[in-house]
Amino acid sequence: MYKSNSFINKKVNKLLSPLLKLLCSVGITPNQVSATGFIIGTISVIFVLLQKIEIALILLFISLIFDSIDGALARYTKSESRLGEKLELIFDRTNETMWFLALAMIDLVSLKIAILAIIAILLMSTLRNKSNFDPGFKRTILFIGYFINNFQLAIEVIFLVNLIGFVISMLILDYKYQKQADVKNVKI
Amino acid sequence: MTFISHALVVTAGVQALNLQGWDLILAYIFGLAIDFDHIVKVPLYFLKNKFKKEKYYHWRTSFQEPIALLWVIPLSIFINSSIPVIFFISHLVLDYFISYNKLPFYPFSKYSTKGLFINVSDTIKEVLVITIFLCINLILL
Repeated sequence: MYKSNSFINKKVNKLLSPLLKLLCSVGITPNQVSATGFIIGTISVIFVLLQKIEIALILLFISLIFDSIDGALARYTKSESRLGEKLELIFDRTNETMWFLALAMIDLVSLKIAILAIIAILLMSTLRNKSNFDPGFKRTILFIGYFINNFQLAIEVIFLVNLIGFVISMLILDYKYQKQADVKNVKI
Repeated sequence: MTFISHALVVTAGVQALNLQGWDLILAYIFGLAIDFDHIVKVPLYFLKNKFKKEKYYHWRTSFQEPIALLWVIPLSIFINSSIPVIFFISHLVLDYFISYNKLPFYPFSKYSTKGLFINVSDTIKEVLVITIFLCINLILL
């Protein structure tokens, strides 16, 4: 299971504590929060296609808040599970894919870079759990793209950072594997 | 393979394709400098062996295994150049002629192989590659 920075987790949990208590008392599960975030994220894509980028970004922001709450709620209720993590991963990657393709459909980015960014993020995600490394440059960079009025550049940054992240993850895993072999005095 | 073999192959490729500027730099990065991934394992080597020499230490990383095509190909598409893929594959092919252990698909699989033509002596293969590519370089000069 991917372990994100525990210091940040503690801070987020502390900050969201009243909200988490409320959600817990109402009986809302982390997976329900993830699903709600995904639905809001999907609606935001419709607004991208309608070229209402501001509304789309507001909805994306809300969906990202839900995205951070689900993990915090799972930790708070000690109900972290592999299923929940997989579900979150599928929702996040699907949402990113829809966003990038939607931006390509309205010609704000090229289709080539949209597909490359999706591939880079997927590659990064395949090793995230093993290497415990994730640069985190994904949907949040879209806001910067809006403010600098250049989504193309934003998606290029997402592509490059995630591709470099994938390479670093591979090297981290190589290092770990070699270290294990050296400790056991085994030849690779 | 040794640095000399890789350098000769990349230089031959650069001459044959008449590469200049950025393409030339890319060719040397992906055909030659990719070997600098060994640096990653230097601390581990010294931790294990101090200053003793260990023959056949596994210096390779997935940075220069076939699995690396997963990032080399998207990068090539991004920069609109086939040079990284071509020179990276040339580097791979040369390395796979030499019969030390390789993990072509790590970290996705721990399958290991010694490479191609393992029955032929490494020295013969190395000498053959150096001779052929030295000749090619001289012809292309």
